[in-house]
Amino acid sequence: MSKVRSKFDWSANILFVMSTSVILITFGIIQTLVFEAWNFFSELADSRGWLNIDWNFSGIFSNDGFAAIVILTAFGLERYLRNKKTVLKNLPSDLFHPNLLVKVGIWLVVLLTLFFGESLWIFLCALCTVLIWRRIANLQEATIRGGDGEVSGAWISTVTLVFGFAALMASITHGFSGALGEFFLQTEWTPSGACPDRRSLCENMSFGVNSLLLTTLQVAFGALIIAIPLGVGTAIYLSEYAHPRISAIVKPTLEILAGIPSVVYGFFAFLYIGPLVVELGSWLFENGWIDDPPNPLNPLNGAIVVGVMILPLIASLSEDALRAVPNELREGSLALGATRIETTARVMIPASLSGILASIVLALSRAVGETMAVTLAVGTVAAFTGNMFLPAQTMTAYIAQRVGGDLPFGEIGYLTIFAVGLYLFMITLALNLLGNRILEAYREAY
Amino acid sequence: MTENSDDEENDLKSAPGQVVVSSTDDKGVEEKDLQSTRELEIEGEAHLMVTDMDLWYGDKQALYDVTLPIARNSVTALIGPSGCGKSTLLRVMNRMNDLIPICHYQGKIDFEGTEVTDDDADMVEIRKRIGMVFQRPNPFPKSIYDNVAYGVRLHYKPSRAELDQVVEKSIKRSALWDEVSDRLHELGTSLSGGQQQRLCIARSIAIEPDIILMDEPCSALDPIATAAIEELILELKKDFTVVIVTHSMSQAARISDYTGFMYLGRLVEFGKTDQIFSNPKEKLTERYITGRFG
Amino acid sequence: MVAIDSLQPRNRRLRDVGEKSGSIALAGSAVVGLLFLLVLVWQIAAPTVVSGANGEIAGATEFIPENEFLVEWKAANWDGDSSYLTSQILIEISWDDSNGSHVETLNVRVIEEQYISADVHITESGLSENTVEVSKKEDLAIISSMNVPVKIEQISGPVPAADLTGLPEVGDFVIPAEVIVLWGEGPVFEAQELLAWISLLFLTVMLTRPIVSVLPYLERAAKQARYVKIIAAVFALGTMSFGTLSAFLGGLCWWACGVTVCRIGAGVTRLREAGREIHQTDRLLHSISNREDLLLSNRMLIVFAFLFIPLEISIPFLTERFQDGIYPYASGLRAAFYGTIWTMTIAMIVAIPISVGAAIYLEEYAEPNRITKLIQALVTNLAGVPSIVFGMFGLAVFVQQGGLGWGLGPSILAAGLTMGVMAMPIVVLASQEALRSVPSSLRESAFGVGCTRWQVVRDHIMPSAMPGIMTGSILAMSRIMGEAAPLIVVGAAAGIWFDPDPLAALDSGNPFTDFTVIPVAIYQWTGLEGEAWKSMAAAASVALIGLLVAMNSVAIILRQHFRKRLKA
Repeated sequence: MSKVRSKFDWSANILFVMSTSVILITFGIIQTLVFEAWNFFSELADSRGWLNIDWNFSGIFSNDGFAAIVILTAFGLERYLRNKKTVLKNLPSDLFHPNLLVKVGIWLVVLLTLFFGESLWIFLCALCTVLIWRRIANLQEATIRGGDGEVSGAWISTVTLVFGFAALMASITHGFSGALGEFFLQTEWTPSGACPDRRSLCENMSFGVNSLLLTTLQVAFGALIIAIPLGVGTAIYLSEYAHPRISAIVKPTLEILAGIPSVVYGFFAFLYIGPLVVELGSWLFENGWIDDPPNPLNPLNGAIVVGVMILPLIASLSEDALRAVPNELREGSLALGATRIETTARVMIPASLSGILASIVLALSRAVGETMAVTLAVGTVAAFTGNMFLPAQTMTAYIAQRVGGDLPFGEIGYLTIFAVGLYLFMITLALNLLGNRILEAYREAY
Repeated sequence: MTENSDDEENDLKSAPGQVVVSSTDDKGVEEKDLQSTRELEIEGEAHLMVTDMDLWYGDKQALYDVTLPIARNSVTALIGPSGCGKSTLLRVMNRMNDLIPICHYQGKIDFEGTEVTDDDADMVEIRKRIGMVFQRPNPFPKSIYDNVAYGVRLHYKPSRAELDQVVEKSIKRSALWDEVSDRLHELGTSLSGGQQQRLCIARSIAIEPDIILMDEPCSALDPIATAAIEELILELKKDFTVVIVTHSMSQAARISDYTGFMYLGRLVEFGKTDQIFSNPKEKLTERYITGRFG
Repeated sequence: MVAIDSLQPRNRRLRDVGEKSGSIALAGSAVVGLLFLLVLVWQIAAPTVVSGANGEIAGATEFIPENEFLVEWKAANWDGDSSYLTSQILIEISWDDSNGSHVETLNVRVIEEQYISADVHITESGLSENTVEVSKKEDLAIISSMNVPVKIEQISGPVPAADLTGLPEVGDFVIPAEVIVLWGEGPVFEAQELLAWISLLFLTVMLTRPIVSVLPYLERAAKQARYVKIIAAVFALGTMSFGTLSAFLGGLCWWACGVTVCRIGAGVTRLREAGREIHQTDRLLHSISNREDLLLSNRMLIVFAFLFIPLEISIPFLTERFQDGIYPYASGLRAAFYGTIWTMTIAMIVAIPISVGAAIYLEEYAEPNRITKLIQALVTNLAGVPSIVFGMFGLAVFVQQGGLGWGLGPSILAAGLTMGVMAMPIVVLASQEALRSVPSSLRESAFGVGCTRWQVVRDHIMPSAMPGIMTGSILAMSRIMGEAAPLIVVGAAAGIWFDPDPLAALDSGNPFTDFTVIPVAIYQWTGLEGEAWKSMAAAASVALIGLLVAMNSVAIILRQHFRKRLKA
């Protein structure tokens, strides 16, 4: 017996080495990105410094400052009331539960500030105030009814704090510069500016990644707006209503859609969707809704096509989530006289919500990382604009485009790729971690 | 389908207070030796009347020509060995079997003038008035309050104060109030098994149905919780009509007024509980009750 | 206490309407994907059918007296040796005016003489001329002086960007393909390859419907199994030495014949030993070991070899033509096609062994400690990293010199390694699933008999999980086949006119390291100007989708086969 025990377990060790290759790859990716990005920031910082903030404390009296103060006050109020149960109980409950018309009116006002408000911070202020108001309403209800049950929405207070702080910073500063300030907080991206010598850093180059980031987010969230209703709707249909014949058509369709390479989607967007969007944009332009004439390359084009790309992902994960809900809940609801739609909306979706949420987060990560379709559909010139009918460039498209050109190792153009790539990697990593964690938690629950 | 059924329907109308159905069994199942007439007597008019119900799962027939009256404000128990069709019969009464695609049936269910099996019967209304409690407690993953309020919010537009009152009333009637009155916001799934079942009962009675169908409500519970539920049923009987399917003969004997014994998809015998348990008319019933099988 | 009947009831009809519209909306959303797919397929397939000069001349206004539509025939009507083709170029011109609809046909002849251009005018009384002659690089201008829009459509003849051979013509399919069966200008097959294929066909039929008279010979042969296999190997290697794909397949057919002969013969022997008679053929089928698997592999080999041995399929678009800058329609995917094949081969060789090994370690060997959890989390997260980041990894590690770089340059080797790295997380996850689906009773019984862990894995778990692993690997490969972004970062080039050589990267003096793959070719061609390149990009997309369908079909067939086997 002792012979067996002392024998070197070749197989185990070889296999262990194989699996550590995974660690090596991840390490390699991170090391590459970080190293080159660091070189980029260092080089930029050599001539522009690391972080310079132009303070403007009188900005606190501006609209943005006002917004910041309101948001932070709301945050503080929620924090205070969370712990003072008696005060909470004694607040008049009519304050928190007006009738339907008033509620709709309040949400409309919030929406209007998005389109007509002077700045983004006003909109966020309105949004946070309303969310905190609802949260306090929930807290009050929970306190009155009693019990230690959780009140959903703790994330609202965190988000409010973040927005409040951001609004505050935005109001009391004029601008940011320096390597970090410029990269993360400015909005103009011209890495190859009008420079005499294109290889080394010159004054006219600016590196505000938010230009690329905005376009990426426009495409990604636009894609979600298309994919979530269709995907969740398909998932509900397949799990609750499915007529077997329709199911037999829909499922392979989703698999095929998922299998089409993204270059082909990009080509299709370039060929067919672009002109369609231009028609829509022309109509809007003629009626004065947008300020500039539309272009066949635009983020809306990309959003439509990326939306269809992530649709199968949302549909299949959401369907799994819905199927995991025990059938007894469905029966219980129907036995009380609910129609199928009501059962789906009031019982099945809330019960599978975290599964559906996980699918959305993972789909968002996929949409952010998508390259070929957006390069062909959205364009290759960076622009910071809210008009989704004008050409722009996403982070991934920038990397693809820049690599295609002349690329000597070590010069600033090469380095920008890695800075943008690192930022992209961090965003998708965070989304993946979040999505996978929600998914695990959901799978354990059922 | 029996030969005499058409004549008997007229008899039903002409003799209020007594439901007499004759049936001739000419299917020749070996263990049965039914006599030519059975009397299904209940006091007063039937609250719900199942007539000549045949039901198939795909090609397999699960109910054979079942006729069953349910008396008002009483507890009717359905007993029988596993697989005899009691749950199927129960579920046909509020058409929960419609959820199973391969299930199809024919027969009549008369409920307060409405024909439940009609294609254009209003399912929402029927299920509102015929509620159901399931074998395994199935509270929604919502708060206790929202569980009970769910049905009310479906069918009515109550103000907050009205809703509070309805919820309190239901929970009190389910003998659950003392245990949860100070924690209505907690999740319904955080309660113990017995409490969850009482919550489900509260949920059902919140919309004040006429009939409550209970499919083996105690089989997943411990004896103490079972006793609590049985006590509750006896209370509920005052305001509602209860039909309960149970595996336990002693439970049927304890709480029910009428008992129906089913075997292999047929209603073998039906009558007042005392009579069934002390003096069963059919040999099969007697053999089941004395424990010879099932 | 409030009685429930005193509460205000909800509107019943509103609920019904909600229910109806809800279910319609849901059904609609399920169908939208199908509609999109149909439109996508239609729009991608459409340009592969060549359309000629098309357009519309907007109606004249009072300020612009005339509008023009210009067409330039670059090489139409010439063929390779400078003689004329006779296909007509017909252009249909139509418009609606106050007198009704008008349709006229313009006959264009491209002539040898140089520097002759032509104008055709459209007026109220029709075309100024119905036949016109133009030199091969000059403009034909069609000018309208009417107030209404005029539609121009070329309905026959070579298109303006036609290649030197005068093709394609309007209505041609951009990817011409030719299939020759057995005899074209001489035999299409090699004798020994065809013989091998026919023998395999015969023997495979024997596996399902044995012919009793042949069985005794097979039995006798199987008694000398070792020699049979040696002979089969000799035949196989001999045939393969000719070096072509069909020769390779022919050699495989010989080997498969040898294996099948031995199996059938062994089955007959077993049958006899069990005391049965040779004509109880249904019993025979049961005594052949692993018959289902042999049947599947033989059938797949027969189908695959069928495409190459008795048939000659020539798709010059894939296998002969390189990208042609001057005549777009003469372009082909040859460099990209072979590039794709080599890239995927390298990726498979790199990715599959390591990934399967890692999966086996994680599922069978690893203790649930921190490192294992870390590796598992890393694998799951790597699977979600955008493909372009893998490209950057490949750029820094495989392509560049210095730092972490191996200095392979932008070559096929670097591309293959990058794609291999990208495929690894996917294959690991798929293999883990396959290993997990092996019932633990199998493991327990193997351990109970006293096997070491490796023996349990090698002899019991792997055979059972192999189908899932194979299917997962094929699906992973088909996923990376469609990726363009990482290879653009690694440095895929455009306009390559030579066949790729995977090992060129290792030879530092070799200038032929440039490569491309099909998705990158599609990307590049989409960016080029002109209707012709649109058609070519569409054709390349169709080719790519065709390859993907082929790969996925193989995966699906394998999956079905093994699912049936597990059920039985």
